[in-house]
Amino acid sequence: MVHNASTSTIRRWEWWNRLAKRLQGAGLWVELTRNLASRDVETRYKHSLLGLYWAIINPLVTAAIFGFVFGVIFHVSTKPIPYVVFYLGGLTFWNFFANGVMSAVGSVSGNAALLAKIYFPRIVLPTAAVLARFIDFLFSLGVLVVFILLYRVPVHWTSLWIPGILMIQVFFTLGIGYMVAALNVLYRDVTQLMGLLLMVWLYFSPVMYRLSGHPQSLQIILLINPVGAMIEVERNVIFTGHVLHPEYLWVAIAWTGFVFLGGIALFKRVEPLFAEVM
Amino acid sequence: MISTLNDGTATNRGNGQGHLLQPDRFARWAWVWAYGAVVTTLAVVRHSLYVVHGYSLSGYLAAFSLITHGRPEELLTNPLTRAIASNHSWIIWILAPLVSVLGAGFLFFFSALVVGSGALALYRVGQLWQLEPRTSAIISSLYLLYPSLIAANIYDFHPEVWAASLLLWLVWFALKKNWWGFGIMLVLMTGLGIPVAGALMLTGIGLLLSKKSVWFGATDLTFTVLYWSLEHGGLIFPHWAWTGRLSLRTVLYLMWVLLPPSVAAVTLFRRRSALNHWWLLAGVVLAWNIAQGSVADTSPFTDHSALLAPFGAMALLASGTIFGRFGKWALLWSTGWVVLMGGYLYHSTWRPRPANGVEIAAALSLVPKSSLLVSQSYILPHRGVTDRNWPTTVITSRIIPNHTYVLLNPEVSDGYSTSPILTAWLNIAKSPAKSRIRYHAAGVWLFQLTRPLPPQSLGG
Repeated sequence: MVHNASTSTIRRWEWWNRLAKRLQGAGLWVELTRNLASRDVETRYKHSLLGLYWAIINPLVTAAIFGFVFGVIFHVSTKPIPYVVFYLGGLTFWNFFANGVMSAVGSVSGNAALLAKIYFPRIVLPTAAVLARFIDFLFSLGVLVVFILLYRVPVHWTSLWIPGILMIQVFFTLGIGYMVAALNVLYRDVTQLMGLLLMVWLYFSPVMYRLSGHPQSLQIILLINPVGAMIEVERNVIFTGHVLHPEYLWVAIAWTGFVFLGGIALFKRVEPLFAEVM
Repeated sequence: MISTLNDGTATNRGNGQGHLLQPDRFARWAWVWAYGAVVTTLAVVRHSLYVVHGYSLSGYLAAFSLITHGRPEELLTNPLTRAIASNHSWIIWILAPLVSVLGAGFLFFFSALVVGSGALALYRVGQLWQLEPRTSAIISSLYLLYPSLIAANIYDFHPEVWAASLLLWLVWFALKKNWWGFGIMLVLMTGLGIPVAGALMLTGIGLLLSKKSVWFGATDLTFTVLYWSLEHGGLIFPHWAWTGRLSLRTVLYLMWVLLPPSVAAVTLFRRRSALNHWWLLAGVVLAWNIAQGSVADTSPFTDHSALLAPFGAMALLASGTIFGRFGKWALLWSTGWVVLMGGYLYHSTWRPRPANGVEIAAALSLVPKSSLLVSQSYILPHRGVTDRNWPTTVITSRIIPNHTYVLLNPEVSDGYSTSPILTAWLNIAKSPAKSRIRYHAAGVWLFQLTRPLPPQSLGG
């Protein structure tokens, strides 16, 4: 009995020690991810004249062009929200996803020298790439806020849901990022393919157009797309104060869980081949 | 590749990186989430399109609404929630506030994940029994593809079906000798109500006869008998009327009268081979389905036979060594199952789709949020659960108050609203003295009563 009690005490201590070590290790990797992400942002804008302003200029110019084309030439109505604000509301969130994925694609294959020198979990690289784009996104969000204030568009208290929905979007972007980063090491075509795929994906997401007014079957197709559902919900909570299709957010959450875990699983499976291929 | 199991036994199950059917930890969870994602998507799409035969979801949403609005006593008088109240399922008290905040989509998502996680428990049991990872993966996939589980998720909402997954976790914790996990699963099972009592008892027998989990089996049986005996005495919940098909008296009868001969019979099969005792337990569940319902209820395409899945899967796992030898046939069988499910999905999900979904949505949008709505079962879940007054179905024994809105789609029957009732309602709609029409298009009627309606006016 005494033996059993002491064995179980030792086991418990071992468990605590293991947990402490894991947390310590996780802390180191979090620190590394943070450093890599901030380095990414710094190097991206380091030798440019406008520096971080590019993070603001890009969405501004795109919104101006699309606002002119769709709002002025084609008279696309998004009343009561001005088209520029409507479009920027979708584009800001879409850009985070698309830029995050495109940054993640080359994050492993573009760091061959770093991989050869030191050991660290390779998954840190796409994670840092996506987080770097999240920093850019925060600047774009500032632009959106300025436009909302300029056009005096009423914002609803339901906007407080945005951080929660963003969290889901971050995990979804990370999941896709892990997949494409791993596959890009094996097949460099993935970079080109993702460029095309994201273009198609953009048109299949309610970024430039409003969801309502389309046939029901088309609306369903657009909402099954997790990014489409997230953008629609994000825009709803900011501008209308109620979510028109809340159940599709659960579809997006379910796909996010799968994409995130599947992304890690795929990355881990391909990871042993990195050294061989690179 | 030689690795070591958690119990210290050497096995050749591999490092989980070599084959699709030898998934690692993340891949296994991804697999469960993939199932959850597909099922949630199909359920939500179906919900959006008003695809239906009978819709228990509306009953559950009505129950949640009554609970969150502080009117639980109406659970027994509302025709939609009467059967749910008689289940003595305490899980609805936890779900009610969650659904009022997170919406009906949460139920589809949560249900799919809970049911899907059972495959993980099954896979782990397979590993513990040193089966080839491929065999465990195939059997776990077959569990996930069991039509009844999918039917309960996609075509309806039934928390009792979660028992299929919880039972498998219960077995896993028992085999791992984890009393904490086992206890939690046991308590959670009671939350699913009386329909799972029998399955819990049979699992107890299964564990009792597994050499390494005798004490867990005994605990399961003692707990099950004690809990539902106290329930029967009204000591745990207030004593409600029993209207369900499976009464507590039947359960107690099964416990006290059939338990000893069941244990004796199952003992004969106490071996891990092609004919293990889990097969007999699965047979008992099948017989039970036939006894309490009809042969149709045992169809793998209804939710009634969902609890056959964990027992069938455990039986297959226990016969795993033989199953593994027929790997190719098993894969072929799985493929056939997938094809069958595909055909069934096409048949059952799309064919009953009402052609006037857009009109139903348009009519619903005209009903003020706070007003009472009477409608068909499958239209009601689209109302949301935060409304102050929860609607009733067309079958009602109560007086329907003045100003109540009535939404009818006579082209589709949901199983509750029979043709005479629909005709009676249509007559009321067409009578200017009794109602005022608010919307009428493509066979969809929305009207508001201008006087209270006694029950006899519906012929019921």
